[in-house]
Amino acid sequence: MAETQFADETVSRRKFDREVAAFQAQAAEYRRLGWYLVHAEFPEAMVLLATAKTKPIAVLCGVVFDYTNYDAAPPSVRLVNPMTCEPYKQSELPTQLMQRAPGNDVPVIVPEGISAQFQMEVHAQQPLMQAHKPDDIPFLCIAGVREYHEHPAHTGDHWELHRRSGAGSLTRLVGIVSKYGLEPIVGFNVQMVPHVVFNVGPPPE
Amino acid sequence: MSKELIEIVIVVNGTPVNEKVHVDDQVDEVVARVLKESGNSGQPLDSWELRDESGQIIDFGRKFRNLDIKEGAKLFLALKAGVGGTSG
Repeated sequence: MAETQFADETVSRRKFDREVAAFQAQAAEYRRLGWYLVHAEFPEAMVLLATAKTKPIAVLCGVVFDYTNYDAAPPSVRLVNPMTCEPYKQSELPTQLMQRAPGNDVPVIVPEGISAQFQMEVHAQQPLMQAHKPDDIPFLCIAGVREYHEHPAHTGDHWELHRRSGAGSLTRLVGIVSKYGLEPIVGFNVQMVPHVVFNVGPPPE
Repeated sequence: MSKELIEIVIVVNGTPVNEKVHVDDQVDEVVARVLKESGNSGQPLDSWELRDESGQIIDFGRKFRNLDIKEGAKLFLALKAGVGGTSG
């Protein structure tokens, strides 16, 4: 459902245009990182994120930003199917935007034969994309995002505390989705499951 | 003799700031200066992250002399995600 514009629309439009212009001014550098601004019409902007480190290059997802009421209110951020622009459900997400969790790593029981080096690489992590159920549309759960500040768990962390530091800026939010979604991707993981059956000759008479 | 002062561009949340940097300046000193100049005073220094054009994170504790940053280089300063993902 579209958000109602309650802030002065002229102001929101001007600030949206400023965000888009700031992104476009650095577009060449951002393109090399795999960031493509493909649509910008108030209040929405859409950025495609492509994997720079894989061959062939692949589009990971689209990200739609809704700057309705900006910056009286923070922007909304959704990961979307880049072909249909439909927001991904939690169960469909191509990336959960995993962040290494603060504090100690989770102790794991590693089977015999697994090297110590592997054990060192197991870290506690948590998804930045949050939803309550697999069919829900997940949201980016960080300060500077509308859905975060509207969530009952974050009523103490007001948007006003973050507004003037650029927490809702387009480049900052694209950078975060890129850091936790794109950057960890270093290649493709191909899983092949062999299916073994008898090779049977012609049946006897 | 190598040049002691270099002029670089630091893009703060998308807004470019031109900055003259001495090679013996430490990165965090320059970041603090740029944040002040650009009016970004709402968040502490360790909430920010500096990257080069290839996206590599630059350590705040290093001096520019020890970094491969040349005249006219463009660096990108942005607010980190912070701790998130705990509400669901």
